[in-house]
Amino acid sequence: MSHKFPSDAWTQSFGRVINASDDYKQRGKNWRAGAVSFIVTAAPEVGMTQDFGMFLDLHEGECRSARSCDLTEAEKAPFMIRAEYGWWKSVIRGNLEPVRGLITGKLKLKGDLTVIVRHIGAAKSLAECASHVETIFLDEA
Amino acid sequence: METEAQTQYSFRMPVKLVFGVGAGGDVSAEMAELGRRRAFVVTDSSIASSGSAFDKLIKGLGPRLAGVFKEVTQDSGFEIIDKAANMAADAEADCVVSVGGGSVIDTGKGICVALKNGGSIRDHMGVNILAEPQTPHIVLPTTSGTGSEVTNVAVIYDSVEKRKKNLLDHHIYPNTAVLDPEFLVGLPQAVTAATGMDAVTHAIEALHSMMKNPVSDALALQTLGLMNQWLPVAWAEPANIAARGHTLVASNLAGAAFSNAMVGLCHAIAHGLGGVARVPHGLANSIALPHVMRFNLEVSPGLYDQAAKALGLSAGEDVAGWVEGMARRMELPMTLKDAGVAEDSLVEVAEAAMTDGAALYNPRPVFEPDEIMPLLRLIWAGN
Ligand SMILES: [Fe+2]
Repeated sequence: MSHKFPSDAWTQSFGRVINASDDYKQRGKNWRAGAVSFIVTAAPEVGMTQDFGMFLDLHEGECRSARSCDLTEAEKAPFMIRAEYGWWKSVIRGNLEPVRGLITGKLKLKGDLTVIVRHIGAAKSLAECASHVETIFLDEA
Repeated sequence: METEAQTQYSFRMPVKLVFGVGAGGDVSAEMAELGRRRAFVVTDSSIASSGSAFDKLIKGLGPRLAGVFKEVTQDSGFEIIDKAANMAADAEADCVVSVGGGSVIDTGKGICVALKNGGSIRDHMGVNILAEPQTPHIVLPTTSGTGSEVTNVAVIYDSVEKRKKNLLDHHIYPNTAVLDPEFLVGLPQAVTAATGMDAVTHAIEALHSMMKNPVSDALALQTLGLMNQWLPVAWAEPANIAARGHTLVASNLAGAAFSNAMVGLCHAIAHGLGGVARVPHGLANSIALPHVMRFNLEVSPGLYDQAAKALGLSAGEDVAGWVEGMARRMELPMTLKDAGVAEDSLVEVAEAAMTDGAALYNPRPVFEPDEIMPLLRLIWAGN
């Protein structure tokens, strides 16, 4: 079933795709650095009037929970990645590799980049999982 | 080799460059242009007592001098930055003037962030999270090496976790780089050689990076030409002001090249060697670079053809030999063994290298420590 991105339903579906992925189970098995939150910045042009937060509790190759969250909660995650709607769309479509996105300033990270780099395989696997979520993009709905 | 980055790229170089023998005496004019009145000078104790060029800078600042902080160390960390930022705030400084090599400049970048945002620099670590321009920063490099005066990264030591962390942000590019060759006169030969080879490595890695583009290529190739001609002269004649000037510009161009194109596996290994075996950064690069180049050539023939042309060599395969020739001429150790690295530390070096972001942009992809162990053994033994 398709879900609008971003939404709570999309985030939950993302969590299910992660947990169904043998690739993530393998490549994310050493991730013990805590939760990751994603913020999609408000984009009135596609009908998003407020920032949208997603919270993923990732641990040793498993996604223990995935849901939307408010910004205060997102801030509490040890890793918070923020980007504009269009860049998230590029990541989900597989057109923007996440670390390249960080370095070129399209994605913004609060947290320690070296930890992300050490788990680059897990990060790439997560991006692949996102591309497998059946997604309806707001600007295409 | 056509990469994604070559068909679609951007290039950022927002730093004003001022070059001139004695230009350090005129920092006040740069402050005035930035609308600043009170300079907080950041340096280390040896530069502060080095005499002529530094004294000229302080004298030139006159009433605009708010304070001098000379406690920067090799692995400058959170505590030093916080201490300096507090002092700068107490002195009501409105800009930072960093005078030194990579550690000093990166410390200066951290101070600018802490001074602007308050709190500890610890609270501001991340990638591109700063929302606005930071405290204005004028930089005077004293080595022809790191190119940190034109980059958007600061490497900061975390003494709690005992490792280096990166602050990477477009808002930490310095505003102005004042390139004054007088600051390099008298730099010891070993430092000239090692920091010069670091700049050479920046150029070569910018040329082989997956993020290379025509603009970074142009800067990197010019770097190689200048270093080929002038680095051995600067090494042999420490007071040769022309050689100091040309190598200073070369390291600056290389800095602009790699801050856009990124670096590769050689830097990942050098960072690993620095952390695990305390090998100075430039020396680690100098030893590792030719081997990394040959490693990359195995999967990507033609990778160094442009470089060969810029150096007047007949084939790309000869460039690694040119690197070795430069290092040998300046009497640098040629192997990790000669540099005093214990062979049994290589496994740890490999692990550290694979956690380094630089490895991501190497043209020959490597992900696991095992994949680079044969290469590391070669770098250790030399053959
Ligand atoms: Fe370097």
